[in-house]
Amino acid sequence: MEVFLSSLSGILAFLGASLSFLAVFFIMRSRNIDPASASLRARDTLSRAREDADEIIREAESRAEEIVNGAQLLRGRAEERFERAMEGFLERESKRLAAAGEKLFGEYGGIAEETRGAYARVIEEVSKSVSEEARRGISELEEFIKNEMVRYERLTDRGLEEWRRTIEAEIEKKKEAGLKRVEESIYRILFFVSKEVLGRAINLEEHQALVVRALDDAKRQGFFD
Amino acid sequence: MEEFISRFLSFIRTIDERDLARAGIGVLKESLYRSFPKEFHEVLRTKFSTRTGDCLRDFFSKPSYLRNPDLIKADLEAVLGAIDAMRILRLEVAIEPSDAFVDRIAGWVLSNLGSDIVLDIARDRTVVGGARIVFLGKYRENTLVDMVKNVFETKRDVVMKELL
Repeated sequence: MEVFLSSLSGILAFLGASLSFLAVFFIMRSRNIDPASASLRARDTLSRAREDADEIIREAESRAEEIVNGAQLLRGRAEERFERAMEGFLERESKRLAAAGEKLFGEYGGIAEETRGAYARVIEEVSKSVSEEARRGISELEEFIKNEMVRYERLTDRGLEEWRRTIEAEIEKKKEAGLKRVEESIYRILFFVSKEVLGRAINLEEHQALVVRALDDAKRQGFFD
Repeated sequence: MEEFISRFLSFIRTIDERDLARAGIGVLKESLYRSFPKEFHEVLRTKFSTRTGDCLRDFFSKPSYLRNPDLIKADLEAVLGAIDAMRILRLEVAIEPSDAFVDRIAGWVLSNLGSDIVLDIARDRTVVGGARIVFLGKYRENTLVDMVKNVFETKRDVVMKELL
């Protein structure tokens, strides 16, 4: 996004400066205006116009970044803010460009009346051209940010889904382990109770018979061989 | 002589009785050279169990032994050798071994394994029933607790199904 915005500001500034400079230079040459001082003032004015344009773009950048960040929390709100920011930006930019044009016009207030009309038309054309270029750039920027927002949302959704799956698997694992532990406990208790009950239930005679049986079994299984 | 030794050993049921017989034979050998046969018979009466004492008395009452302490001594040493060679059968059982219980088990051993085996019986409540058997370095668990454990292991699913 930063690359895109930088390019956009570069295009705007370059376009504005080139057109204005060429137009003014052409008029001055045809009307015998002192080229040295006029050129200096024109350069100065154009430089300020360019700075203004840069400032506008930087503000737009900053605003757009805020919108993208805000989109993570509230998409609807972010979109609304984005729209407002864009409208504000376009309005401000138009105003600033118009002001830049007027400034230029003011600088050449001393130019002969007959040249003023031609000059004003040129300036109007320059302003119009710069405004259109800026508008086009802003539309592209808007499109770009919208696409970014959609992409980010998709990524977020995917991340949430993945996180949900992991949590579910973890819960399932813990549940199984818990059940297994309970089962083991029951099993151990049952085993303990069984042998205790059995041990107490057998009388002396049966105990002796069991020992003899154990010896018989051992002999039959070849234990004493 | 072999028959006598076998018979004598059959009266020795446990390792305690074996130790008693071994010690008695030692004293008996010493008595041979002190006012024989009077002291000899006194030792037989006091240092042996009724059965082992009677067995020795019967055997050494033969005329050939009457004036021949050296011969008695040689045969006593043969008996001692046989006692020392007795094999031990260790049984761990759930109950305190009473005399009747030892007699019954010793009877089984004599009938099934021979007279050269002496019992080492110990009580272990965890056996629950039956016996844990140790013989010549071998071990077998023919106990009730083992049987229960086997049932629990092989029929675990059935047991758990009944329970839950």
